[in-house]
Amino acid sequence: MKIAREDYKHLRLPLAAAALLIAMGVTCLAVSETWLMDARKARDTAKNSNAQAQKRLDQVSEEEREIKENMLWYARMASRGMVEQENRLDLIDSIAKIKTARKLFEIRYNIESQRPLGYPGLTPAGAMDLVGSRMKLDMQLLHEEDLLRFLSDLGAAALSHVSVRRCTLDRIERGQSLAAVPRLSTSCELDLVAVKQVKSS
Amino acid sequence: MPAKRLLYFTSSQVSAFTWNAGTLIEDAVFGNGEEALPEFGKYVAGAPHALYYLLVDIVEEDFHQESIPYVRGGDRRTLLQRKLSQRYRDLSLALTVSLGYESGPRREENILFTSFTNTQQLQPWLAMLNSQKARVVGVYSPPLLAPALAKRIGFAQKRFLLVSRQQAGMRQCFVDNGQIRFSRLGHIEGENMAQRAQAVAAETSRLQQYLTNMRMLARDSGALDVIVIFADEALAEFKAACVNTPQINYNVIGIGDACKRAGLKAAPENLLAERLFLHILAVSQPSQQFADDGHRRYFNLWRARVASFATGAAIFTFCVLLAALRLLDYYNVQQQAGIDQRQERRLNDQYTRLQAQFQKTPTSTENLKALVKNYIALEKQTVSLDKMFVELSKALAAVPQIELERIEWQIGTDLKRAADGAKAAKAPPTPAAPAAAKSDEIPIFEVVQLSGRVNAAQASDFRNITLLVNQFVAALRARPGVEVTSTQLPFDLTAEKSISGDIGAARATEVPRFTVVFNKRVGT
Repeated sequence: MKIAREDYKHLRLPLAAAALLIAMGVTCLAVSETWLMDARKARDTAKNSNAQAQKRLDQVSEEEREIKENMLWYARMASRGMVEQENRLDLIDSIAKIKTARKLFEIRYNIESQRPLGYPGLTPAGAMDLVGSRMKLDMQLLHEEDLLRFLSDLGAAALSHVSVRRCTLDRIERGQSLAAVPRLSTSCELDLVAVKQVKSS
Repeated sequence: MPAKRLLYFTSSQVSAFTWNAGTLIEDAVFGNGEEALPEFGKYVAGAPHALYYLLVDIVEEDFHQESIPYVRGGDRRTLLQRKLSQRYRDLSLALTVSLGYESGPRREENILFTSFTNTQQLQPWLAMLNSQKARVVGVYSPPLLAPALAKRIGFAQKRFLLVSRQQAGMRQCFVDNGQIRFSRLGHIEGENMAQRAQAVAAETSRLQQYLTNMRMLARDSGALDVIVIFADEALAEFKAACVNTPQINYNVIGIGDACKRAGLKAAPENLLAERLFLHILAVSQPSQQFADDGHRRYFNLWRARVASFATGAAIFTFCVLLAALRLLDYYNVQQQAGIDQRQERRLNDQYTRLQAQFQKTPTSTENLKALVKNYIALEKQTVSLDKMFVELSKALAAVPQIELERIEWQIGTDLKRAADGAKAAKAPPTPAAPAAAKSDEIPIFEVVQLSGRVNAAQASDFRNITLLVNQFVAALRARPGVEVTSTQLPFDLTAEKSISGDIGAARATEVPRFTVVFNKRVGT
């Protein structure tokens, strides 16, 4: 079948109609395909959500047990004064009391600002997390027991969790003197760890 | 579907018919002269969308068989066109039919060349059709329709002779291997049906002889099947006249019976066997016909339009059907999603009811869980100095000559960095590596660097000093979990370094000093 060149113009309308029909058909197909894909995604999402809800419901008793257990840990943190807002005046008072009670020599301290705790194994917990104030401590000691007692008393004061990170003890040469003078000097870094509501980043 | 109009051309007249669902209706009869053309033009103009089939039943039809070399494609077309132009003057109504290839090494192709030897009588009519933009499907002749007619009336043989009587005369069509090979139109002499039947039988016998002589029919090919279609009222005479012979096997069929078999419901009474050919042309026109693309211009254009629109419509329909299937799937999927969503809401409500009975927490359960996890990790890393002092005391008890001057203790994960940090007192504390912080299994170490001196020994008493320090290190190593990583004596005994001392001199005031670094994994 041959079509004369001059007859091609007579085919414009049918060809345009055919192109329009094809375009309409393809559009229908594409739209239905898109709808179907979206519906399948929504169904899969609903299915997953349903499965998760079912799983969560199945584990509700386990979750309750876990919450109870975690609340015990939280009570432990509270008992150590970690949940309260850090009160530095009380802290300083406590240091002074310990010094007096233990008859310690000079104590110099420097407490830095509170910041997130960067310990290994710790991950960002969320709205409520552990924070620490780095405390630098310089003390004159009669013997090493003074340091141990001071740290123990500081922890027992229940103001925060005390985590010692670094300590250096140096002997002070005093000869054979028996006088009650400092024989050791110590420099320590410790973290006063507390629980705080942190701003979400 | 457009109307089908059939034009039957004979040497004396042109009859116009409309075919509709097996019924043939005569529209008009035109004289075969130019004076009839205007009227014919009006007739054609009355149905501009009809399809026109031309059946030409004239004597001046030529059949010529020739073998051509084995060529294909454009060469074959060129060769056939040249052969046609050598034989016929008007190529617009010429046809070639391939009759197959000869067996043998040359594989020549047998071609039947056929056309009308006098096309002048047809061209004015075709020109009128063209001027009216009529859709001419094709120009046919009874011989081209003979194979289809035989098949239609139930004759399955591939080789036969069809004898029929039309207004134009008696037509004899020889078909071999399903293809027309030869045809002739002649008159039937005779005053009555019996004589005419005798004449038909005689003509048939003569044609059989002719075909045999022309080697179109092999001598040992058996009896030739002959289909004789004539008027019903003369059936008895024809059956009596057409007696089978070893060379000819007659099949005499009345025109009424043939029409019934072919599916022709009704036709004008005055029509003879041409009604059958016209009906066959309307229902199953063969692909072979005489008209070239010039005559079929408007039919081709119409076909192209229909094909374009049909293609578009077919694709549209296909797409819409697929889209409908997808929409059906979409509906089902949405139903499933709705079921899942309702189920999820129910489960969530149930969970919320149960959760309301839980112990109140200061923060979300997830946050509390993570907080507790961090707190447990913190507790594991919180180490008291007491244990380290105990280890040191027990090691020192074994070697009382050792006296410590400095203890540097720190906690960390990286042993090397921790040791370096212990050496440089002012170095920053060991931070946890951010990547390491992600793991719960990061080992935490207490790293201790001791600086001390050895009493009761001369500075140059290398052996004794070495022995005492080694005893201290051994005592340290004996402690569970303690690993001594480096020991630095007050002198270097390796051969690469120089060493000096005094033997026998009084006790020197200088006290030998040493350094030991050890670590212990937290939790051991």
